[in-house]
Amino acid sequence: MSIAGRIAIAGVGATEQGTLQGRTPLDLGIDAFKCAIADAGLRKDDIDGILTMPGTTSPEGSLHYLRFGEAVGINPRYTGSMTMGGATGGCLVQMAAMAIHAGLATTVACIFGDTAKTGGVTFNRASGGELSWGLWGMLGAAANSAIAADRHMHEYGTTSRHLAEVAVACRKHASMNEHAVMRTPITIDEHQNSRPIVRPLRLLDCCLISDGGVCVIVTSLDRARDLKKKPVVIAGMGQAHTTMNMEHERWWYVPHQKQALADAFRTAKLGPADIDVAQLYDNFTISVLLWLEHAGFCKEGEAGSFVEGGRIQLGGDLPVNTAGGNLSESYMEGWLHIVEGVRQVRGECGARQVPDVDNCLVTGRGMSLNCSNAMILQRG
Amino acid sequence: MNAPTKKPAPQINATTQPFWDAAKKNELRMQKCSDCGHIRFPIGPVCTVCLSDKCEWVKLSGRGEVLSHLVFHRAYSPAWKEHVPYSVAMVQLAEGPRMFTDIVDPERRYIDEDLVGRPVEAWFDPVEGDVVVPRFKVVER
Ligand SMILES: [Zn+2]
Repeated sequence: MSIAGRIAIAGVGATEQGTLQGRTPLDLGIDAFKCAIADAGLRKDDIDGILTMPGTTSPEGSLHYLRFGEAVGINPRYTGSMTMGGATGGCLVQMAAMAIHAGLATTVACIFGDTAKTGGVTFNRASGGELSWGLWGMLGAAANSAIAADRHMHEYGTTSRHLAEVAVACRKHASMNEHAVMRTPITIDEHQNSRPIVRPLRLLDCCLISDGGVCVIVTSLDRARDLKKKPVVIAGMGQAHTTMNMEHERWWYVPHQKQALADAFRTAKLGPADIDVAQLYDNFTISVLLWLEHAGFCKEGEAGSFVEGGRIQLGGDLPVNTAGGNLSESYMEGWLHIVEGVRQVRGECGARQVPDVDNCLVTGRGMSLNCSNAMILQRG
Repeated sequence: MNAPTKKPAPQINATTQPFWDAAKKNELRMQKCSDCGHIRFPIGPVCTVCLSDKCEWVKLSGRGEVLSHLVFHRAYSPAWKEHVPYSVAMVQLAEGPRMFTDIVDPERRYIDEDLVGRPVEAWFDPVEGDVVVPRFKVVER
């Protein structure tokens, strides 16, 4: 029997976000966990699966699941940690769904906590195999996305003002989200005047760096129906990854994302026209343009003109990143995209609620251009 | 012309040694699979096409073309601080492999103009002691 439509998100929780002096990744994860089980109407002992993403500042690294389980006093039937950067949240939720579908657990908590802001992390995707590209100055999180933007500009005529549309939309949405870190609206001109970081990317093309915690509780749809909140069904899911960069002809275009999205649409028996609102992983503005093309909201190369005139803002044809995204809400490596997707489907978003949401697309992308996933969240 | 740039020096290990030995002789060499002929980069223990561990370090022409051109206005490591702003290119080498490299004009100055599609050529930078790093410069068509 297909997994599609049989697993649900029963609870979500997030801590305050931003600059949180004195906090640790572990206690932020625990706070988020407590929020999420309360949101679902569950007790700690109902959780029999724990999947975690170690924060960039978590000292336990890949053994983080052990420390987390110990700290909250749970002996899980199913557990583990995964490190796929911004793709981890979506991949862990999918892993939880598969474990539940396989009968290995009933209710799985997926958890992330980090102090990247106050912990002084430098996001620096090392690559180049035995040689580090840093020898040639190719350093920092923005570099690979700058390649993607530069190639998109050369092949399709995309402009920096198109990228600005994404930044402006995210900031507008963050201004309507009291929990967002950056809430002052910006204009396209302000984006254009922001300082260059790695050309063609400017400061306002880049995501924030943040402290915070997020938790998502996954269970069967049957079980979720008996819980406190309306279940949010995982109607479709997909993931696809590449390990190749230099030897991958169109690596910069992240073409495997098309596979992740195609699988999500196929399993949900839906298409892009069925999507009412989308939470698209935005480490940099260019990423949103790529997702729009890969999902089929527009043709390849046309995302620049697609986003013109506020089309991805609330009130536009396809509102994107309605809580503000990584660019303006908080950089929780995509975990808050899942939370906002759930809240939009539930209808909990107040001033920024998209009317009558049946289907929300949520995507994740991590390790620079390497890992990707997609989920379609649906009203239960 | 060959004044060192004082850019960072590599950590050399057994796997990468032939690459750096070649650079010392002002040659760009990469691994060519002895079984299927594929030239791979980054350096790796087996052929990424056929998994053969037999390879020959072949000398490349050092010529190629810029696929993408970035300008770093920020240093992400202390070693690059004094060089900001600097250009980095994704270079398509004539023989097939690609690599990232910092890139300069024929006088070895940083360039702000868009370089995509421009031909490039390797040059050899003695960064530290007898360690030499191959880098690229834009050349006339
Ligand atoms: Zn081979």
